[in-house]
Amino acid sequence: MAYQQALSQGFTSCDECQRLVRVAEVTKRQVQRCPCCHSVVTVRKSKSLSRTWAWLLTGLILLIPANMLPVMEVIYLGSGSPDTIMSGVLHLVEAGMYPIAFVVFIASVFVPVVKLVGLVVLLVVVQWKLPISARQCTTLYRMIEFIGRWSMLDLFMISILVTLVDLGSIASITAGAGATAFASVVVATMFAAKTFDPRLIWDLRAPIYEQ
Amino acid sequence: MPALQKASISNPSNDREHWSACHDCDLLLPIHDITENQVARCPRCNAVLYRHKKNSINKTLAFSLSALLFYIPANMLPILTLNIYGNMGRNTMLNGVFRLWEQGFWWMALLVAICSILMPLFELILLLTISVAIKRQRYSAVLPFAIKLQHLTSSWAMLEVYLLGIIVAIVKMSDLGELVLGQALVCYLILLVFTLCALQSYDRHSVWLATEILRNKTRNNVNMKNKSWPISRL
Repeated sequence: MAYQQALSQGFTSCDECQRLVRVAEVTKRQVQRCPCCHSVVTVRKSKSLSRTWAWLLTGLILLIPANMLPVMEVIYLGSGSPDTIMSGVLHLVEAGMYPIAFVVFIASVFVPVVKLVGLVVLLVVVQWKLPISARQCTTLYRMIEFIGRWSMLDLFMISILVTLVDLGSIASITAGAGATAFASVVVATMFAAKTFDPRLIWDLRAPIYEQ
Repeated sequence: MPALQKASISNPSNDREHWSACHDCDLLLPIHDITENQVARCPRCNAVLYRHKKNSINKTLAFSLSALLFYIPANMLPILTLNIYGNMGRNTMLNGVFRLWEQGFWWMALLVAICSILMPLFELILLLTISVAIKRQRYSAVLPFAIKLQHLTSSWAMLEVYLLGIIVAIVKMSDLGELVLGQALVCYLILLVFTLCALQSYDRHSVWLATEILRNKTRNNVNMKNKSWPISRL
């Protein structure tokens, strides 16, 4: 069966309401709007590749302080013991809480790294026009989009812990600088996944694609 | 491929009604009528194009309204209380944010506030607005705006992730002292379940279709009035 890109027929779908729109010729200062929802119609997400690269590099750079600096500090009788993301997971393993250690490891170490690496793979595939299965790339993209939000787990946990352990000068928990960096990593990778346009993967193929 | 030739030959204004493009791979596809509980998927990339949800608007209305009832207690009452030698540490969803802000972590506080408090509230209010407007068959300029905003909030509302945060906090703190689960935990769980149900029954695709029909109706009524005006003066 022959498959045909909508773009090759002069159509595109509105990102907002998924209505099929005939692509109009517009000058640089004009925009085309969807007749149904009046949002701006662009053939592909505008400047998708450069925006995704930008968010991705931001996330990669911030990943270093996020993992090196303490995300949380338990202050007990005036002396603090800072915890980085990884040492927090190791503490859980030492205490024998394997399932929770696994969940925290997946959410705060595995997911950000997988997201960043996965997006780099997708961008490289699109830019260098590598002959990799477009279907698998789309699955990878959907996975990246889905898992992104679960990294917020660590931040929510810290916000709960700082209020729970509150014994004034005896013991308390404060957030650390690493948490700010980690929060930024999560936001940057979420934006990176949002600005990437999966249709670019399929545009690599010829307009008429034989299966 | 006779079907595809039809796409290129037929009138573009008619095409919009019968053809669609996959949002993930831009494949040109004819729109089929689907029956109850059926899902239309892209044959090439397997993306969900649209699904038929039974009673979509009624369910969205009911679930978002019920979720909103539990929103305030879930945010204000203590979710967890930790008792260490008579010292009580209380956690509500709100004071976690304030505590982070006091400690100087405004960026984290802001993010936690947006993802766990503000966006879930906006999302519910918008779902309610949209479903009420469509239920009453009234078109206003707010409706398309609300649908677009809801699309935006859906990726930043992370109530279900907060649940995982609570579970991890419970496990971590259970041997430090006496941990009491508060009433708000129940309210929060109900809020979470109803929010997920509302989102599950909400169907953006058919809401846009309904909006367009409503708008055309309203416009036609206005046009009729304008046309009849000079006649009535004669």
